[in-house]
Amino acid sequence: MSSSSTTTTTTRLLMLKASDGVTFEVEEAVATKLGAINNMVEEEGSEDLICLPNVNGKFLGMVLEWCKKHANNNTNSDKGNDEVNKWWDKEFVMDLDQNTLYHLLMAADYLSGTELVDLLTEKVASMIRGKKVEEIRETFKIKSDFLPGQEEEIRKKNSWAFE
Amino acid sequence: MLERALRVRRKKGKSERRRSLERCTSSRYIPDDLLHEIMIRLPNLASAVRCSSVCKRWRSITSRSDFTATFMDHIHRSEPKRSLRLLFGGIADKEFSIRVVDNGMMMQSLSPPPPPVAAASAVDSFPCLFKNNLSMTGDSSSSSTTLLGMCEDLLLIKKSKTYYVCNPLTGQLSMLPDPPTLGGGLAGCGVAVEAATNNNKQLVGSGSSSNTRFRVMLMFFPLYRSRNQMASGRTLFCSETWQWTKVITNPAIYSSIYYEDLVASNGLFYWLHVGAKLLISYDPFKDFGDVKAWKSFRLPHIFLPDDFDLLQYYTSHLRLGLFQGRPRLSQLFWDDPQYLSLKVWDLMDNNNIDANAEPSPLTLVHQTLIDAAAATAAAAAAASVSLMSVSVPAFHPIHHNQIFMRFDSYLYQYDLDTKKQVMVAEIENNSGRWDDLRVFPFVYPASPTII
Repeated sequence: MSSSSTTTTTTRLLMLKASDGVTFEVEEAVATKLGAINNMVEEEGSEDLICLPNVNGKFLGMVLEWCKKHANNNTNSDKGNDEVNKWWDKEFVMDLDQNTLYHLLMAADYLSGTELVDLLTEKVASMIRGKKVEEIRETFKIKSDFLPGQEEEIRKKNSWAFE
Repeated sequence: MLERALRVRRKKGKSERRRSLERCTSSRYIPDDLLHEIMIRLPNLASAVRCSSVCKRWRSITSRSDFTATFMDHIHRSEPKRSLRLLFGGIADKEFSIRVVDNGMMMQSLSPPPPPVAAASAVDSFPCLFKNNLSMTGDSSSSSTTLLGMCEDLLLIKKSKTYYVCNPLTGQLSMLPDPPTLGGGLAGCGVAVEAATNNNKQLVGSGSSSNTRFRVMLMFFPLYRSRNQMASGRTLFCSETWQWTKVITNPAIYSSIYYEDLVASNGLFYWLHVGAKLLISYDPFKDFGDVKAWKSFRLPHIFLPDDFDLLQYYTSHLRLGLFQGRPRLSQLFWDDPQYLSLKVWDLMDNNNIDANAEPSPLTLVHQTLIDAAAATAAAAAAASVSLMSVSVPAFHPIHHNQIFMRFDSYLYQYDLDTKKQVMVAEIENNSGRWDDLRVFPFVYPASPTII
């Protein structure tokens, strides 16, 4: 027990407070995977409590879970770890419902988690992939706001893409 | 202090964006910059263009003047180490199983070759296109898909008996009608894209898009072998009429007796006519019967025997390809038991040239000896080195000094100046013969060709 506590003293812990008051205690190396937090740590070195009024605790937790996995796996830069990360990323986004995906993406973007944004935008793109326009609208609950005839015109001009 | 101020301003920007989000009816309103990031991650341009008709806001993303450029950039970024992709095809319905090593462009000395790391072939290279589209068309059986030709980013593909023209970047796939039978087997084929004009550079989702015209040419062996056969045995597919038309041949050009490399560049087809010892250029966009569509260039003094039976042997060591869009020709032959001699010629100027001009308009640009023993040792090949085990399947499309060389089942990128090589692929096929292998270096264009 005592040995584990001595190892943790070498890494600094940060407190992240979400919009709903939920707080997370994370290692600095994990939290700084997020560009925004990295900036804050560099600027305000002494403060250990960081308030994130734009992120809900549920999604902040998920973002941090992702950071933790990637921070751990990056410490030893094996080629095999790349594969592990990829596999883990795939699992991470596999069963996300649209609502969660949306909030996660907004949180990752707000926190400047570039790699996570990359993963999540890739996931959204995969939901558009291979779908017809009507299916895309249905998937994302979008209503066409084109004037009558406008959509037909777009299709006509770019008929090659609609074959 | 300044940094802190910047950060505060950035935060403010974010919260302003946030407030604007709340004005929207949909709770899942993704900011424009993120939506843009999503769209450039679509597998091909057609998918992105379809998104432009979802709603006005989506349209505004794909209509940005830089959308196509950023889309192409992103495709590039996923393959950061490769300036080009090598696509593998064949002349027959043979399946090659190919393992491509990571082409880090690190030229190394001969041994030892790095182990192959990833499997790829023409079909694997662009899975988004082939898995979704080609496998859906026709039967689901494992009939092989062969890459037969390439021009810019258009590929000519044959699956079973059907020909397709496709662009893996835009996601377009066109099934061609069945061609007429004009002889025996296929003696050469290729696809040509109309030479680039400003019309071709178009914005996605806006403006009128004029599709690029293309031609497919198939050359057939004559049914009866005869040296002076006049029947042309060539047919041309025209993208405007969507029909095949028999090519009216310049009488001086007989039908092909050997499989001819057919390449296309700047709207012209080029192929070698070994029998007549000519390099032929044909403009398939000119009117049929226009004699100006044809040009022929005398081949340089390459060692081609007059003995008809020997020709075939030498023909297999000739290669016609492209370097910076110009025709490039190579010939391999034994100089002495240990060294292979390789000569490379470029067609410097294809205007105003008389076919009988002396010297040949093809200029010798490289002449080099290759230590065959060392090369094949590196390829871990059998002790007996024969000319049949070496070939030049392709030239590097951009680097003047680099070509691709095959030693048995290994493909190397070879530098003619430093004589260093790096293995790029390992090829397997059931027959253990690789003569039919064709390699197509695919260079990512600045903007994709829309057909």
